[in-house]
Amino acid sequence: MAEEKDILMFASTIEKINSEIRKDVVGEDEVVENVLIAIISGGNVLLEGVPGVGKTRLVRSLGNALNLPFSRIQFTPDLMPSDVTGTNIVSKDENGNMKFSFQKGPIFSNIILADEINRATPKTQSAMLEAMQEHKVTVANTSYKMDEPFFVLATENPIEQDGTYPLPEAQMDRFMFKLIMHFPSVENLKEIVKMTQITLEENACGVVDGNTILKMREIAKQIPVMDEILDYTMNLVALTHGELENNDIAKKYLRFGASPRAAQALITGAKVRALMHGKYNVSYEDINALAYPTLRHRIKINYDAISEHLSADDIITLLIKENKKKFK
Amino acid sequence: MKDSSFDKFRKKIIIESLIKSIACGISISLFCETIFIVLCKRIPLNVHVIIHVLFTLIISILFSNIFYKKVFYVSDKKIALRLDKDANLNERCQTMVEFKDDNSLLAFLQRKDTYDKLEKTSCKTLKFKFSISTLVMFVITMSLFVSSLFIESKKITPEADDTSSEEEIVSSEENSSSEDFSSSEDSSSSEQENQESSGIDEAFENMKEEVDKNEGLNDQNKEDIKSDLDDLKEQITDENNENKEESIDQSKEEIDQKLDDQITKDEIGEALQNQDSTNEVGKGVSNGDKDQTSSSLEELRESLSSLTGQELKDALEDIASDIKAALSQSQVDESDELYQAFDKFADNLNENAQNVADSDIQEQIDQTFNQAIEDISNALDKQNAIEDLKESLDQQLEDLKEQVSDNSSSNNQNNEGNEEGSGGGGGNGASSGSGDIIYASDDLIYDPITGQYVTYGEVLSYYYSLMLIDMENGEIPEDLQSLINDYFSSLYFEGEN
Repeated sequence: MAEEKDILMFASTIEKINSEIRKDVVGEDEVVENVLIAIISGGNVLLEGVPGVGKTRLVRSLGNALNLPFSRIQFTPDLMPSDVTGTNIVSKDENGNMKFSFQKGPIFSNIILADEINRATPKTQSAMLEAMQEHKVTVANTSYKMDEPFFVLATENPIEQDGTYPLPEAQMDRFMFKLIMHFPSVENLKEIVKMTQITLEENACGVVDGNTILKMREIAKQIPVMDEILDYTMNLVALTHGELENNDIAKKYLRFGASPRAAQALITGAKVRALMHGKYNVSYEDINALAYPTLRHRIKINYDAISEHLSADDIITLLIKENKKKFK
Repeated sequence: MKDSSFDKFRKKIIIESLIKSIACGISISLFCETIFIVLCKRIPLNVHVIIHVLFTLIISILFSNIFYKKVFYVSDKKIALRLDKDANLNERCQTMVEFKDDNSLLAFLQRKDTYDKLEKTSCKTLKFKFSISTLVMFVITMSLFVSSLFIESKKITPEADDTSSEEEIVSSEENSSSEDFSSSEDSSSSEQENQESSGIDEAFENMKEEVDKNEGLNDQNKEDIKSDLDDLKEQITDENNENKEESIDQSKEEIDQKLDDQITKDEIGEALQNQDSTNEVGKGVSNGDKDQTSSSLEELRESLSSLTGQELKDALEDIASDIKAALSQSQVDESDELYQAFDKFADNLNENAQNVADSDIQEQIDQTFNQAIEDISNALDKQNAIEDLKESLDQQLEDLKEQVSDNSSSNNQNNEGNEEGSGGGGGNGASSGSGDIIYASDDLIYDPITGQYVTYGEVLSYYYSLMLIDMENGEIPEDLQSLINDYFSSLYFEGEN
């Protein structure tokens, strides 16, 4: 059972983590916040960004702040599933007898950076995605459970698409959020350079541990959500489907809409966000804020949207506006 | 934990809802009152101001209640929604209201957090909201209500009915409508007529009662006279009879004649005066004075008391024969009581003359005279009573004639406007007589027989010529000729005046 002091300390705990991460990551406040939301919610994040924007540094710093082991997997086309999950190897026991022992792969960590996941083959991708979904790995009929909290931050390189295996939509749906790391502003770039001239090592220190994250996860689950907000959220997700009535925007600009996982992700993330902002209830603002990271990878824009230079985020903005009219 | 911080906002919003409800209720009541006022003024219907006030009040209360309960009712959820919007509380209040029964720790902390925020929120943050449509509705209904106060009430204008019916006089259908107008419009004259008819009835009843009580008339006479009175009454009460006065005169003559037929004392008395022996008696009978008659008979008896034998017999026979001769000369009917009294007296005297030799002849003579005095006195009393009745009936019939004459003139004044006829009053000439409608000779009168319009002068000339012919032929009694002449003269010359 969550204790009152833990609840009351939630926002301050988040602030502590944030402030540690800020020691290593400049800017990208929304990305950092959403990463924290995702890790507390128990979800995974798909991070899109050009090389050198700080994706690996963010994950390392997060691992330091949370006192959780961190591993990085660089996906290449020749990466095998066993390279991710681990494999059985022959080894000698203390008596010198030969035996098989399972050598855990890099996935057996709390925080994983799956770099350029779209470069790996679908088979390797599926091994990764299975671990993300199930929080366990099965090798030679033996399942090996991951330590909790288990968080995967996968990246996609939006520039190099040749020779890549884009994640199918069904697999994309397993990521709670898709976050976009932009090229830093001049000021931020200046600060990054200044920081890294001193040291390239992360400076974040551990302020919480895995158990605290798990407690925070349990606390967030109990946050009350009123019916109107639930209806608002469900309607927002439903608006992404053009085949439904009165969904003119989706009909015009989207090929397909978000799955029910989007609604789950929205509510779960909104609860955490509410707590992070010192509230004890979910508001429309939380839903609207999380609509972009939740839906942008779950909807597919069509050529009409492309021809009108509308991105997925633009479509989401239109959908939010439409939804507000209904719930005014 | 107290929710007083929420209560202060709740009160404010409830007051706002009440004000809106009352405004709508008043608008509806003003609208209904406007319709009520317009109806009252158009019907028209006289309704006290208090009724209007009560009506408005009741409608206002009723609709204010309805509006508050059905339209503007604010639940805690609505209040919370309003608070979250106006105070930017990020759905704190709504969540708090929805999970008010949740006893979990987080629900408790959420409520606490909300109350903390509410305490820091000023009441002024919640702005009073009054929709434009409500305001517009209120202004419009108020304007309509004020306008209705200046609407004039519908007045009943009988002049409009009069003029419309006055125009419809000429044709028979138009006459009926004018009659309708007359009957409807002359309600006061009909009341007067009712009074007059009751007065006439009473007069006739009095006269008939007098006839019944009269001791001089026999039953047959009484019935005849009463029948005559009834006939006269019918003639007088007949609206179509335009010669009521003549009818009265005629009936008066007939009744007087009948009563005169019963009064024979003048004829008998005059006849008795022509005889030597009954001269004085005749005078008394003619005067109707029974005392004088009695004393005359006493003197006659005295004159016989000194006679005897043949002289007495001759005297008795002379008196008897004189009486008989007088009776014969009078030409009175033998059934007449006075006649019978004298006739019996004469017979008794003859009988006494035959019994002259009797020893009690004086006693017999006394008895005869006594009987005669009694019979003749009774007969005279009756005839005097008939004479009195005649005078009384004459007077009452004269009074009745005057009353009828007065009524006729007043009715003619009332009906004058209805009976002017087409063509107006141009030209000199005739009128229809005093108290009647004045027509000029050029006025056109509708002749229902021929269906043509003829001038009044032509009609009058025609009837005047007929009158002259009847007069020449002696068909009009002499005592009426001057009256009729005067009448026609008045018709010709009154118009000139």
